[in-house]
Amino acid sequence: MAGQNGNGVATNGEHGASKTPADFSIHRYRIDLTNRDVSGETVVCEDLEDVFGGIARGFKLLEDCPVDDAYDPAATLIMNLGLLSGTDFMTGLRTYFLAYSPLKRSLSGKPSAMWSAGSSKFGTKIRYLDTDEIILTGRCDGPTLLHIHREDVDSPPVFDFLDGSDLVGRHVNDRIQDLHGRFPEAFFAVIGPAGENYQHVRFAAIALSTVNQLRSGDGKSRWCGRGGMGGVMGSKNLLGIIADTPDRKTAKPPPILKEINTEVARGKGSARFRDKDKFNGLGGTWANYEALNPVHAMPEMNFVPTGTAVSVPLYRDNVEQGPYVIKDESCFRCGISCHKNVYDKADDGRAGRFRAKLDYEPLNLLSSNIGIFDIDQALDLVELVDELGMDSISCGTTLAYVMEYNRRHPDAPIADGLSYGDFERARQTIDRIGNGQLEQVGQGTLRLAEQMGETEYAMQCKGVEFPAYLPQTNPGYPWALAGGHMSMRTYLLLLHERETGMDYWVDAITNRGLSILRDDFLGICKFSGMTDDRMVQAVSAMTGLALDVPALKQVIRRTFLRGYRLERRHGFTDDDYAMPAEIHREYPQIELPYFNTPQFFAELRQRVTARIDELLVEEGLS
Amino acid sequence: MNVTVELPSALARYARGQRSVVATGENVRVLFDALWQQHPQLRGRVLDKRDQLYPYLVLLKNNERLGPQDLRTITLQDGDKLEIMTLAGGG
Repeated sequence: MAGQNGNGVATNGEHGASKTPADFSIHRYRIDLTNRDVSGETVVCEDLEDVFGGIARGFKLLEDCPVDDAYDPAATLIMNLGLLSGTDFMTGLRTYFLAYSPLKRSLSGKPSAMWSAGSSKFGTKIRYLDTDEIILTGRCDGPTLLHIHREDVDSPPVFDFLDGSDLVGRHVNDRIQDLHGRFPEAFFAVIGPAGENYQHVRFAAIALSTVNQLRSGDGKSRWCGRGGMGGVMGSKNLLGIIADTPDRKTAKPPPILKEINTEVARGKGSARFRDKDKFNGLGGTWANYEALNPVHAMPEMNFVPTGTAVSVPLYRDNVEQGPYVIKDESCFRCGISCHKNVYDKADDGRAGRFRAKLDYEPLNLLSSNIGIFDIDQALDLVELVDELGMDSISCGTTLAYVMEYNRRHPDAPIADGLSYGDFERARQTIDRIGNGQLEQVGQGTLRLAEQMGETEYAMQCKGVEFPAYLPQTNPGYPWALAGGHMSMRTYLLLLHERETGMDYWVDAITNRGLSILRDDFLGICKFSGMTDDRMVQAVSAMTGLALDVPALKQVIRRTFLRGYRLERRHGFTDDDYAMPAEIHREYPQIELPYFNTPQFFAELRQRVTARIDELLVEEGLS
Repeated sequence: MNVTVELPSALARYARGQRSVVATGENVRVLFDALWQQHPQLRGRVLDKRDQLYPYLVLLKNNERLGPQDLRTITLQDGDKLEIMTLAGGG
């Protein structure tokens, strides 16, 4: 971003935080893949949304390029950074991909705007290349790699198109290690087999290479998982993006950044994601098993908890009793170390073969929620989904739908009769999905359920599968723009606050729940746990931008409203904001208040819609 | 025994928005009773019907994690700090 040095630190720090959006500009590149035409421009920012970047700027761009088919060559795929991506702010590693999603859609069938983000030094390298945003359209004439590099240190980036044919069909880590051998200073964003088979897989993901992955050779990618962004990239015949530039020596950051980074690494905000022996850490997202299962608020068997202890063997403490070593490892320069990487225990008791990185969502949705309670089997499935380049949430939830359908229709099963707990068949099914051989399942839960004529237990909203938090307890899911746990912070409210009133939930969805969007334009990880006050301090100190908390909150609100307005513009009606019928039932085994009845939800939808309409008017976005 | 009790943001709204409150008690159980007197809405969000800490909450005394059984046995001194943290989270 111009107006800053390459480290994201204000060059005019002596002026204090007095800059306005007009003092900032971004470097944007438009690439027509069909003609291999690249044009760069320096764009002066008009408002805070432009300055922040990520989805705040991306939504503005998507307003101008609607498509009826997410895989249309004319469709736009945006890759951009947030303001703090690639800076010295700890966790400032986010790269965003935005597009009209092949998965998210209205009832009328139109694709809808979505994004996915991942943390990796890939974003840092893009920053080092002085590139804020790349807008991709068109389609390469064959499997292609986009190589971004410089001729010399001070020159603008060069975009080369390389033949990627030799990577076709190979697994994700194999591709990344191959590219690492050829471009040792680079980091990569790649698709896997699922992305190549985009016409048969709607939940293909984009993998970002990590420092740990390139050093160890293990499959430790980070993922831009949700919404099928890997399929959009695949539809453009773009197998990977190579950010190839030497590391840059960074300027000395402002003193407050050291203080804030210490808080990110050791403070309360990130405590839940740290290991237990690290500054009062609480164990990471895997600890959700210990937290949610005792009150039977954890998905099992297609989001219907069994009310039993059957998932207890999957608790981390129990897994550690077995032949495994679990190490907390980190993203580039991050002190939180949220990755819980599982290895086979070697004969000497140390970490042997790497098995998989376990976050709560992949673990739950590829084990308990499909009736698998054996950690070794779960590790195999998580690793396989990653290697094929798929979103583990969408894949796992779709598998659960298949299993539930087959349980209800034993005489007419689908997908070779895949059933709960059938590890071997689950593994084969995943392999077939990723390789484009099982379109019926690869199209995702909603489309499959519509085809089977039973949508009541298809666990999705707007075509996007639920993450591993019970929809019975979260009526906010339908208003999440890009996946329920990453774009609407209402998913654990019932657990902690136990409120069941209408006013409470209207406010939760139209006000509090939106706060989660902040980090999707600032370029930082949601696990940093920073308050708005601290983020304003950090942004002001690092960039010189005049900012206060109300202004930051307004950008959050406007970003949500732009996303919502995009949905409405592309065919969403009130009926699209719905939940699968069976989640409105009472499940006595869930030890939380029952309130999300059909009647409650009907009134809630009316109230939420009215409130959002008011906000659109207030923000001049109606 | 004046003890500072730090609350997670999810519970602060049931303590008039305060992230940190002071209560008195010679052990955790007595201290909690005093806390409920001040902020009655907190009780049902910290303890279940059996008066046990919910499994998704963690209690720390002076940065040391306490077990569920410690609620009855751990004594408190003037100036101690108790902290309630939420275990579940994602994003």
